[in-house]
Amino acid sequence: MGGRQKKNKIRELVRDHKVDFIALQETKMEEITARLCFNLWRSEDCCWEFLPSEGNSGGLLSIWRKSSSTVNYTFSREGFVGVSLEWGALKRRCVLINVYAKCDSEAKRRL
Amino acid sequence: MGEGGWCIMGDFNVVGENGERRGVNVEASSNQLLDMSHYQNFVRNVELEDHNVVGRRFTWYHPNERSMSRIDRMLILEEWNRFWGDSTLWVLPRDVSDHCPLVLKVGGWDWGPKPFRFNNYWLENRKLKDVVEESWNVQEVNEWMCCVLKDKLKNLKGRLREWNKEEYGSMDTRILRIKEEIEELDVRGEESMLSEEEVQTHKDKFSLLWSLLNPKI
Repeated sequence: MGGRQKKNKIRELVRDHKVDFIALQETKMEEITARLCFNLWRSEDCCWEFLPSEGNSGGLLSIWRKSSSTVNYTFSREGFVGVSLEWGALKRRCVLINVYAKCDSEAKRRL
Repeated sequence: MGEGGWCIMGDFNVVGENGERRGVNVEASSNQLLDMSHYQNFVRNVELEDHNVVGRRFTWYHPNERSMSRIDRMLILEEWNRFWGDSTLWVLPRDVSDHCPLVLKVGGWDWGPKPFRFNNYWLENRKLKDVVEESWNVQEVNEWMCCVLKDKLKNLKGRLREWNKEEYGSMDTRILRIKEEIEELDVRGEESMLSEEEVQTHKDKFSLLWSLLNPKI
């Protein structure tokens, strides 16, 4: 996600599909800033949760619309980032887990 | 797993069955088979459902265009559908990544009317003033005075949309056409092996796409 083309592509997807929740894999970023999320989301109406990459490998980022949701809890470990949300006016509960399994079989099995 | 809808999505780096991959090596390695059975057990034990996809059969393409697989997916608990109603999982054409984006769409297809957007970069275009003036003056005014302004603005909106297409559309159209051509080759590659020539064409189209995307930023 380092390059501008990839960021722009994500911004396009968010706009064209009126995305409520987006799950990105292989961010290759050790740190995620508010500025980056606001930029990808095209507004500041968002929350996010991430798992840093290990150097240039892996990395997860989930972003969702803040004004439509309440966060119950979040959880993350090697290979996944989960969020439990109450969504919309009906406060529907849902759990969304963003997964990236490494190619390495050992790590995949642990996951 | 508690109440509510669960959805597990991402890159699992494993296929659910052998038919979900295609490549130079048709036979799966023992490691791949083991990974696959681990994955299948996981899905079965947690009682997850693999959300079926539309649009494409594979989600990841090796740069050689001959290997491809469906390693990106969305697993849901049965309650998910009760929760959100019918949903469609689209595999969209890829461009800057070797993976295709997946988009889950819930409910109706009506996206409503397209809003009008004024692009600030129009202001830097010298022709804009003429276009606006022309559109403003050309209209016949034989209505109730109160409607004149509304109608003029409405017509101007339409004219600006057209003008934007004439003035800036060609670049977007070109990008769109290249993406379609890449999509076509991707899909053809799903059905049968691409020839050396086609693989080269594919590569060229990608570099062209990147060079066209760059100046736009």
